[in-house]
Amino acid sequence: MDQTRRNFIKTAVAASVASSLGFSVPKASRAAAEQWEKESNWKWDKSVCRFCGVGCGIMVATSGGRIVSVKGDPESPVNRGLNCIKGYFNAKIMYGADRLTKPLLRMKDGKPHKQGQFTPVSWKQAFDVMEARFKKYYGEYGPASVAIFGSGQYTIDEGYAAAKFMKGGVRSNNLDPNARHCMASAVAAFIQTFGIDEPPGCYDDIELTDTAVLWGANMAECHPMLWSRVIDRKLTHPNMKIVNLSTFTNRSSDSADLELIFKPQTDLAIMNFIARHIVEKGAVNRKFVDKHCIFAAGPTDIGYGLPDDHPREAGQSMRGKAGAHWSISFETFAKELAPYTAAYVSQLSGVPEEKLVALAELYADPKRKVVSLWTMGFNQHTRGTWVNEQAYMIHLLTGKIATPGSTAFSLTGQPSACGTAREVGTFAHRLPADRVVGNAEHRAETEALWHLPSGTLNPKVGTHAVQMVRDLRSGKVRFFWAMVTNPFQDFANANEWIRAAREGDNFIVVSDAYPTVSAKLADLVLPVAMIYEKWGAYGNAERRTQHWRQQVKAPGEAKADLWQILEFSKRFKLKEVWKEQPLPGLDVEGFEKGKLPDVLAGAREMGYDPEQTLYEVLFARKELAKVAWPDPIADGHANDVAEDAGFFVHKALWEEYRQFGQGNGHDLADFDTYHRVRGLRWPVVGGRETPWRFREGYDPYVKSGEDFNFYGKAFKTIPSGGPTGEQFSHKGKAKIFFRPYAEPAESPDAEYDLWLCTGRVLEHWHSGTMTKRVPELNRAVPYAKCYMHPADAEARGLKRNDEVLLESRRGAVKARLETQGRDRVPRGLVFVPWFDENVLINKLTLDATCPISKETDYKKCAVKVGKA
Amino acid sequence: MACRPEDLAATIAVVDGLAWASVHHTEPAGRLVVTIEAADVDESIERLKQLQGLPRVLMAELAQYCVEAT
Repeated sequence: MDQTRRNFIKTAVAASVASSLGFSVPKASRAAAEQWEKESNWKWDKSVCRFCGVGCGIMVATSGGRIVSVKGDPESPVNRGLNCIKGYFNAKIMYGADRLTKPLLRMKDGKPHKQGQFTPVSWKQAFDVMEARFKKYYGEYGPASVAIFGSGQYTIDEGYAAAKFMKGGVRSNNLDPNARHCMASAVAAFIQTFGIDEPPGCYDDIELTDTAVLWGANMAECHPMLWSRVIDRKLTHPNMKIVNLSTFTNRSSDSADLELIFKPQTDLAIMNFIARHIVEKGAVNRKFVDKHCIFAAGPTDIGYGLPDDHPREAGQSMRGKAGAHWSISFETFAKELAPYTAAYVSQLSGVPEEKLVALAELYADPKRKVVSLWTMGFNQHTRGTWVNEQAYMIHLLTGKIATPGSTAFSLTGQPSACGTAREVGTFAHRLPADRVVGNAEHRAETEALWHLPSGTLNPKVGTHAVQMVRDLRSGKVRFFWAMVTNPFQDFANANEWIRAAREGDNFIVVSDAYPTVSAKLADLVLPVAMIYEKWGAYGNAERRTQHWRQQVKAPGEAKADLWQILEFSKRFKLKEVWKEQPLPGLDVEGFEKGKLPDVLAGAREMGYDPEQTLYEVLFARKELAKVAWPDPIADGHANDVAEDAGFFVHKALWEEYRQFGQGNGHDLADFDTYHRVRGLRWPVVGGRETPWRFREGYDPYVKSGEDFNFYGKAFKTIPSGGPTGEQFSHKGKAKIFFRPYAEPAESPDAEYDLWLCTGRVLEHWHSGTMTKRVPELNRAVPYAKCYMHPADAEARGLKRNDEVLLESRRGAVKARLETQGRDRVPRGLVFVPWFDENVLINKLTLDATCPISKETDYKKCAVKVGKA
Repeated sequence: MACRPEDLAATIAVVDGLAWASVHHTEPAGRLVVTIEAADVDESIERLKQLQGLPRVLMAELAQYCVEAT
């Protein structure tokens, strides 16, 4: 290429980017950009990034059946034309050399066999074996023996179909997502505090705030595009302060005005110090609190979510009642905070008193807007629900919530942890739009919208993720289907579950695009279509729902997860699943003990035939199948699932699904609208999105004169003044919880003398299934390192780049030692990212959970490190 | 790219001093639009990382790439 042409392209691309970022661009440069866009003959379409929960918009260019270019979408209100390094490589995740293209079944001597070798089979053979094994266990042990482990990376239609198949079809609530490991603590705190899931505020708060406080969120690496907005704000607003709270110094520290490195678990105490400071300084916003909040507390000895016989659970008298709570007075609340003095919290946390005070002052200053941001540091915590609630405690005390520029914001880790796992309800206790299986009214509403006979839905909460693998080990769960996730690399205490999968009398199905750790352990592997090979929708952390079209075809025989669920549902007749079913432990009013009722008579009354399949009733009912394909909204794009089904499945399911949220605070727009806009933040009422919820003037559910209304419908009555007090309703008022400091489930001791913290790096995402297949990302960070303080290394006779052995009470792995670089850990702590299957760090982690949310604490357990 | 406003001039000078990078647009607040030239994607990533590692640079991210046949 000659220099003139090269310079022209550089000028054009720079002008195009600068325009999209809001720079003032000279006319000549703009003209060059326009000419260049015209010359390139690629077909561009809007889409979304496959990775984290930020929900960046991207533009995808296709040519010759392949994706040839990706750029940040200049029209996206989320990332405004920028991409992080992973976003830049979205297309390349689909073109790994070891992409799975045919179903693989373990076979020996021509027959399915658990100890056999993976053998390519047809889809028919795969589903034949899958059906036989499902029905064997289902017939012998009932609906509680089958499970799907789903994902916050399911598209919304996939998650919705999985929920409908499991809960409405085979009547098992054993559907739980990997979002249990990621967001469950945030969910539980939202429900307990506001009575409705997901954040009150939105990303716009970043441009309106004076302060960004990061709590256990290394945004510079894990949410880089939002971090770029924080940095932009800092550059343009002289009063802006950034605070980074973490257990080690990381890239986010580089731009922080104040850094607080605290000992693991002591964030609980720091929060209480801040609240104490606010109370002591008279900085409580009494007008707001008196009108819109109540104070609450709950039991303290709630355990650690470990198995019953674990020594750590001894004496924890309120295990099983962790979610109970009651109202308290402001005076009691203040009294509970009293022990959390600066001196006490400084001694506990290791943070100097002056830094604690400086942080508390930022929150207490009535003139300062504050955004608190957090992710896994809070959520993956044995008191994850509590520490989320403490963030709301501080913001509610000061009235700094649901107000432009002030919010407590739970960031998400996966692209549709919100849109699918939470909003669709792919958790073991949930139904769409914040409904739950344990509520008779919610079940009735769901049965009506799904056209199911009364009594079909199972009222017993299913097995949550961690319990699911424990049940796999004990034999309670025998059919296990993992979709869009890599459980045997993801679960803490992984050795236990790997053994259970390989040695138990069970059948493991893994739907994935690549031979992951989980796929290698499976009995059957189903190849999947990836994001741009199918239609879909994700919901991001700020309640923004975004849809995309299929851009290219999946390779070989790979098929969308939605297609796999629909095809499998064709294998079940109503008479097999809607008859009376055993359900050990069921004891719910309106149901015979231990049994789900026969609902076939009700089904006949509704016009169903017991010989009909679940596919016909759940997915291709007349009202759904009439949604025609092709559709003008496709704009020439293919839809392999719709072409197979003969109708526009995605649109049909979307229009059914969105009925759950209408008038319920979860309103969504119609399918076509989302293909014309860059996402909308729900509730979407009268075509308008809602940036700030609960706030008059922004949220259509808040009436004129109310100012704020915390209207969540999941609020129940609670006892007044103590656990045995009279029940009362606090409708419209948020709860300010007092939660105490609690020790971790496991701490370093003489033998295992170091804390282990796990997490992510910028270049890789989750278990590395996709990013490890992008050569450039893999070369940038080829393996997981063990980050250690140089003095700790020296004390062990170790040096940088040594191969070391990390051991816990549960397992051991080898890794390369790093004593420099981006993560600078304090003495006594090591950090190991979890993306690398060759450094399977979850063999070491402890499967302790928050007893309320059941989310695992991946951030702290005890290990030792020595030369390998 | 982004740097503090007071570091803008110095950052422009450093970036323009690199043979493979050019500053095209700037804002007084500290934002810059820069192009990187590289033989392949690996090299472009390596160079991005060099930009990210420059003194005074708060942030450097990718926005768009373009491949042209030679």
